[in-house]
Amino acid sequence: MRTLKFILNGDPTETGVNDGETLLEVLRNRLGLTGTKQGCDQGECGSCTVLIDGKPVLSCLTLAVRVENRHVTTIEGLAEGGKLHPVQVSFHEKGAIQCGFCTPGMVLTAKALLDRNPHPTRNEIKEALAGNICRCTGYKKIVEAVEQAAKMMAEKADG
Amino acid sequence: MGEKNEYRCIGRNTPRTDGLAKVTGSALFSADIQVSRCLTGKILRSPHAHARILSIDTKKAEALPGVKAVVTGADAPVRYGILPVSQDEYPLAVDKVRFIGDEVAAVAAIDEATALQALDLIDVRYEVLPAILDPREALVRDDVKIQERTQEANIERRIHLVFGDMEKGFAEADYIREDRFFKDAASHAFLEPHSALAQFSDGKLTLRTSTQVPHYVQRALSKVLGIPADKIRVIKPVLGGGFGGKGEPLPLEFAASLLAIKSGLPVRITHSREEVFLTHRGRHPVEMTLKTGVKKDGTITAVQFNSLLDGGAYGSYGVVTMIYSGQLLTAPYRVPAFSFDSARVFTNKPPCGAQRGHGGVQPRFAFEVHLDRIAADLGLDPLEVRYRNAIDPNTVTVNELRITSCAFKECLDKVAETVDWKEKRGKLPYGKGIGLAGGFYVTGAAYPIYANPMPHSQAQIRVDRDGGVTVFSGASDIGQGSDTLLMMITAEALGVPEQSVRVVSADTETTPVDLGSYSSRVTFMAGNACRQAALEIRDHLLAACAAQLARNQKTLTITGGYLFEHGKEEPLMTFAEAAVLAEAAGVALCAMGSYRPPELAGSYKFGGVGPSPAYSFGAQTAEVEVDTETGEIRVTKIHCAHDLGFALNPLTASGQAEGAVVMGFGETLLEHHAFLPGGRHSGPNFLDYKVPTFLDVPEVDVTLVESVDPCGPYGAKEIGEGSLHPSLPAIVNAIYDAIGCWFHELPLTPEKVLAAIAKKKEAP
Amino acid sequence: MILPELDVRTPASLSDALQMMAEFPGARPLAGGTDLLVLLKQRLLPVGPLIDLGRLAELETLGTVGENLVIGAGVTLCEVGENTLVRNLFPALSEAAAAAAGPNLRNMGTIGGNLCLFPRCLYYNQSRFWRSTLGNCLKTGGESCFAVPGSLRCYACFSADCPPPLIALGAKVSVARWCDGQVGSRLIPLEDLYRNDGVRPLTLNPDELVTAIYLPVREGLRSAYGKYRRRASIDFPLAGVAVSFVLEENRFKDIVVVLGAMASAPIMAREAMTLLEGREYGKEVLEAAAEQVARGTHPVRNQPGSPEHRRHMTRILFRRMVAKLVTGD
Repeated sequence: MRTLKFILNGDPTETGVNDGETLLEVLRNRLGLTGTKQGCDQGECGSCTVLIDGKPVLSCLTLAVRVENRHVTTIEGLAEGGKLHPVQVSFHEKGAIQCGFCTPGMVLTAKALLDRNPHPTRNEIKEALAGNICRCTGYKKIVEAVEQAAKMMAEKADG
Repeated sequence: MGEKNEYRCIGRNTPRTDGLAKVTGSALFSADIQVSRCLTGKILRSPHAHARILSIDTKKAEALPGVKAVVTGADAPVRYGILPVSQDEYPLAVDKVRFIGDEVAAVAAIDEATALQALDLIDVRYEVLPAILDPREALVRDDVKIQERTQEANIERRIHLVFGDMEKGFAEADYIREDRFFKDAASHAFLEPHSALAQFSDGKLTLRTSTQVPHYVQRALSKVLGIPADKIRVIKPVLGGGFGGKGEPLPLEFAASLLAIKSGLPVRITHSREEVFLTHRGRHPVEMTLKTGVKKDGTITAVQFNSLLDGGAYGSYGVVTMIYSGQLLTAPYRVPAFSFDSARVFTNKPPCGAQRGHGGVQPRFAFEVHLDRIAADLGLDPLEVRYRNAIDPNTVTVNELRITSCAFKECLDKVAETVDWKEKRGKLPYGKGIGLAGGFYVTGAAYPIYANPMPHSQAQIRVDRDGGVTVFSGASDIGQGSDTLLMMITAEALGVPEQSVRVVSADTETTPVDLGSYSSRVTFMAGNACRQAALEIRDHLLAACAAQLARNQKTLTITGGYLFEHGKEEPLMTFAEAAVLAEAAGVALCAMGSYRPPELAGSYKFGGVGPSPAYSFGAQTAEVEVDTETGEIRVTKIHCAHDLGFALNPLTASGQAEGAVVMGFGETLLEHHAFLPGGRHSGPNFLDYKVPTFLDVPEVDVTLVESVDPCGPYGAKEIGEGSLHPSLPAIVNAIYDAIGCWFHELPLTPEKVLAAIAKKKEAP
Repeated sequence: MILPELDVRTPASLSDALQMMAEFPGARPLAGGTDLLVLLKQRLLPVGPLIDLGRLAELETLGTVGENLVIGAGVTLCEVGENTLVRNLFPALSEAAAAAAGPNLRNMGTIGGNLCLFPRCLYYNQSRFWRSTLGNCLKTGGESCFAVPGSLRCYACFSADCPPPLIALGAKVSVARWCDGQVGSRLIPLEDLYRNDGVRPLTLNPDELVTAIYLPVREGLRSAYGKYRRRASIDFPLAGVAVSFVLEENRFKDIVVVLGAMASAPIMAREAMTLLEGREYGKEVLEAAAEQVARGTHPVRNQPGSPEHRRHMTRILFRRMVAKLVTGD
């Protein structure tokens, strides 16, 4: 057991962890942040995606001890000051959510895409999200939601 | 949609009521609910496909520090099963195990590591028995009995039904064709693994579980545990996809309950992804033969269908699957004479059950390809053949299914027009093709799973003093959006804004019974129940207001959250004020609504399975590109036109169809729930079970066709399952158009495509 | 599926890491963890100390040094796939890195880890429970091979995407270890890292680390990587084909063809290379070479899909890639 210090959703966080614990387990079991989902636990579905220093990675295959001093963003930390991120708004409005289990990972992956590529083509959206499996939507409305989010963000930047 | 909408709430794109909770991570799925002192439960599974249990010694496991309870089959040797005719499961194995993964024992411990260690310490002695993995072997092999209740070999049940004059039908045919088909197993592959959290205190059991059917789980728990149902509370938290795989009581729900009772502490069991695949209950592998007689112009004169279903180790929904496999072939085409012979057999593999489009998917694939073959043989246009045989509204099928609303021909028109059928079919360059298929499906079953004269769905609505409206419904929102629909229907019927309605659902203690989310019944049945309750409460309210205000009730109305008097622009008061007025007058502002389908059973044995109060219809076209060198198939586009009666929420309705089409696409080309010799699942994980990714799926284009059903809530029928049926055969028929090869077995692989091309070259 | 109890060491420098590798018996390097952690979860590896390479700046270099492009072993697959230098100079590598796994895994997985990916088998990459139903195979210390019954050797399938193009591009890797109180390193051709043995796939000593890849920059080099898999993302290759050559007056020069997923190591398609070397590009000769490519492979039934089809795909991928590299379409 050791003490892990990192920045979780903007807040300095300290928790005891064992070396063999994944970030997913620490988030869910020790810190009570259950928004990050365990879908397969071996890196094949993308449900457990979180952002480490802004990059989407799979928390089920990340040892918690490796995020020492890093910035981790989970779905709970995406809305700033209670204001939803445009990706969250458009997922909701465009019907890109059904059961919602893949949603946190999908939203975070999409957010990271728009951070590095604010105007992605439809194909770039699909490429970026191709490691996240959704069983409900058939993906169409997710692509549309990311497109709308890009538009919203562009308008916000312009205005 | 929505342009000429006479309604205020329904018919408009409405985001889900739980959407914001789901995008912020605050939605609590079963595995997310935190309770103090919760133990982790784990299940010991059979390593053998078929074996007798000689002994189970749990002493060492019990002695391991941190272990709080160990249970085995001896703790609850009571059979259960979703169907009354198939009570053949135990919570944990008694005497025998029947597939690799069958549940043998369970432990609850302070953490997962301890629980896993304890599993290793349970000593089970087995006598290995011969395993039957091939359904054909199961059909004849009498010396090995997988389920003792089978009389003949390992046949769970046979069915033989004849409708109309088969002899005459075939005698009148100008052409008869016979084909054999096979559709292999697929799996639901929902993203949320099953999870059950059991708590037992003061003689009362509370189970929060990822189920589509809280009511049936409550009943089964009561039976197996010997606890009265009123001491069992089953709650469905937010649920991460079911598609049928959470549609029946499952071993982990009993195991968690037994462990909680034994340990006195909360116990949670969450399946690993591998356990999800082993628990299965997915699509049955079905071998099918079809013999159809037609006139020269393609008019169907008779259809003979045989099917053999590989059921796996237990009954599950299988008898219904078997009956559906034949019953659902008598539409959307007129079939004057129809017969079917089916059998479901047990094999030593994970049990098959209900999966999206239940019962109809395999035969629909077979029949639609068979029909295209007939059209090709006769030189007819597959679209014309379908059109010629398409059923009209208000007809009765040969097996006595009562069809009311039906826009099948409109669906055919719509896809044919969108895809430019006349210009493209048969005219695209080699390697490219388009294909067409139709389909139909039930909007809920006319009869409940256990025979009873009660409603299938009940809803209770309460109006508060602040004008807030609460709907209590047993319906399970499993991601399809039923809570949102119930909110919309209630708001519409009551005349209040949607924001003032909240839905409390799927909790057996606080909500009245709804049978669950299966067979596409929720919108129709819970929707009708909800509407009835809302209309009744509206009536009470108006009557009370009329009396208090000395007006004629007929002159009063509630719209948009206000009480109006006819002909006046200014409202009399707000809905909340009206509620206070009524309550002050002693009127109880609550009401119950219920729905039970009319008597629709056919006049023959098994005539209760198949009928539905309404049927959805649909047609799809697929556009494909075949790489004739590699055998790879790319489905570029699927058009889906679906008659859903009325689109209460076009946003979620189209989402249902898009998801269903992609699921159908997946099991046509990528997904294979396959087994290695010996009965081992070939890849119980998301790497080997290939759910399509963003980069694999076709562009899907959905048209919602509205026939306004006379009995549906505001005319609505189902869309979430029926829209899967045509996808498979549309793709297969398109491949024929592209390369001139027929495929009778699914899933397809590049290997099969190349083999067919080579064979065709040899003997064109 | 929880991990076993682990002991993770976080070295501050490469030399620290190498010292730890030397000091702790059974130590394993932890790079991206995308393969290693799954194997550990499935209880496929003995548990020793994990030496976390995640923060070693020395391993994260990417740039030209002299005549070479040097890629640190710790550079992520995402960076390799998106790097402009790599894309311009060595498109085959760029394509392979971008085709590995899925996007979020590529943010984690490193090129060094990809070089050392454990060969895979239908009967091996399964849970402890799954394997317990069958008993141990050669790779887990047993005496039988379930993929090739009767076999005395393990045929686990080489499933990494980057090594075939790297070998085709003439890559050398530096392999370092701690010896005599200092860092010692050797530079070996990448192909020498592999031994085509499913049980012991790498020639590395237990205390050695791959630290960097050296790619000789060469004007006019054309290269490509083709991957066959069922899904367009996530999946491991069922066949991988890498090719590089210089075209001089429409003749192949220094052509190298390397295949992945056909054996327990990347294999060179030597017959095809010999056939094409110095020959003028033409449809017939290309088809003949493609035939040789497929003929030289011997995949076994340890992956989804039939071995015959996987072989067939090497032929098609090879022919199409070369034609495209020469003619542009």
